Amino acid sequence: MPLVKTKNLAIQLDDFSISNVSFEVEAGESLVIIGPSGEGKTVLLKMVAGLMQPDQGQVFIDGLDIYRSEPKEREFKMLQMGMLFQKNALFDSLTCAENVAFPLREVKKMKGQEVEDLVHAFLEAVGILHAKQLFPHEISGGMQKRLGIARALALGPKVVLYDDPTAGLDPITSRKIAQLLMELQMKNQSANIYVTNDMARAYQLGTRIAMVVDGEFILTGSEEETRSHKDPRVNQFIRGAQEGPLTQDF
Amino acid sequence: MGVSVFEITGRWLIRSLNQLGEFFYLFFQTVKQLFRFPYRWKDTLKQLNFVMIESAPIVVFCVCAAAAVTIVESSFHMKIVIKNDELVPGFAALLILRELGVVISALLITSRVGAGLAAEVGTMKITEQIDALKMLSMNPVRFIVLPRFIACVIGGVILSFVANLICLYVAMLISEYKLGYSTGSFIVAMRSFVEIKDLWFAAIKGGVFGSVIPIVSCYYGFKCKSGAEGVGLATTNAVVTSSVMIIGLDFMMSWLFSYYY
Repeated sequence: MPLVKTKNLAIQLDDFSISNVSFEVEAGESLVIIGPSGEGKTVLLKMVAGLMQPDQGQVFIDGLDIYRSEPKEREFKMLQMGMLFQKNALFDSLTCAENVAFPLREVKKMKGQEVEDLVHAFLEAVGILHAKQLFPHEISGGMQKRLGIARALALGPKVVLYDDPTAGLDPITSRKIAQLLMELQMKNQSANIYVTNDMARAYQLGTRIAMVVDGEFILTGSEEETRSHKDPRVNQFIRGAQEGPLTQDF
Repeated sequence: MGVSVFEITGRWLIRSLNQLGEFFYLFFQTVKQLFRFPYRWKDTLKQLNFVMIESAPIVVFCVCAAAAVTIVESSFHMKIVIKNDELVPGFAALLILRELGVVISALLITSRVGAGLAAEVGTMKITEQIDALKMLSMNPVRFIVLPRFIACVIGGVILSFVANLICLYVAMLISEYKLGYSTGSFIVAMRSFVEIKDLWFAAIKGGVFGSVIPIVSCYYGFKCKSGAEGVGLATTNAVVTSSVMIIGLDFMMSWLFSYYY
């Protein structure tokens, strides 16, 4: 059974609409969602995360339809998901260590040394142990991403959603973060869904790639399949070409 | 074709009623959380410090100034109209206890605390911190609104009480030094105009106004649109709406309390 399954998801917002989104992601597998800005990639991720109710369609997390289930069951499944937000969503009144400790204390009701040990382990795993007493605004963008990753993984989620995990980072840090995410996935065997516009990282991270464009969800397949995809929009996007169907209106 | 005045008024009315419904919904969601234990005491005490202790100096300063102005202006006009200002201490005490102390305190808390809350919650919304809470299956109303609600209600009651007492004390001092009425005659005049229930009614008003501020501010924070403009708009709307609601509720409660005199 896939850990994540969506069936005919559709939503209509002021600026755009997406329809007929169906995909599955197994444990240990990664799906990377690419596409031009403002086409609804983040909205799609938030629908999967249970944060934004779709107009129609279903989202199954580990077999449970999260929008049509009892609140208790839904709450339980939500805790099996972790998400790195586009803007990291770090709690700015808490230190780095407290940000990671927050879900452990509030959700798992853990206390004392047990929390300290786990926080130490997570911050060490993402390489920011030295910043544990600093506040999010006192650390660099790359470190904030790492902190966001540590917090997203703190509860040991089966499904991890990453919204633009390498946005705003230099290519070296970006590659390092992607490597870190792959190592963590290997270790946890989670189902990962990424949203990114960075094609180098998309190829590095994704078992499969999908594109959101003009309200459509196009599963383009593996790196090779994506590179040779017939749809001219996919072709233009992955090559970053100025001329093509995506730029006709400019 | 132009839009008629009726159409504009109708749309405004529908939008306002809709918004009022949403305020009530958030209020009931918050009250519902009051019956769920345990509370987040650490957050609540932090908010209480912000609402009550940190607001106290500005509230005290402003009510003192208002009391002084009330005494001086009343005396000036009464001397012109009825050539006598002996009713000033009594009238001033009545005005202070029933309206001035509590309304000025509430409006000051609105501009200081309400604006801060709307900006804080709005920033949490646009930086996705509220979504992060939801991902952890934590109820944002319980986590964000409830501690601020409890702090504002308690802070509203205590500050209005303190403001009233200080306001009366300053009025007494000004009466003595400016108008020449002794402390004893001020108290005698005051007792012929005000009753102890005025103090309780003021405390009730303080609590009600205190409950309006976090609900309205958090509502606009939750609805905040992205960008600095969005946060600015949320803050402005929170302060304006809270102030208007406080003045409206003051009128309604004054009317209601008048049946108990």
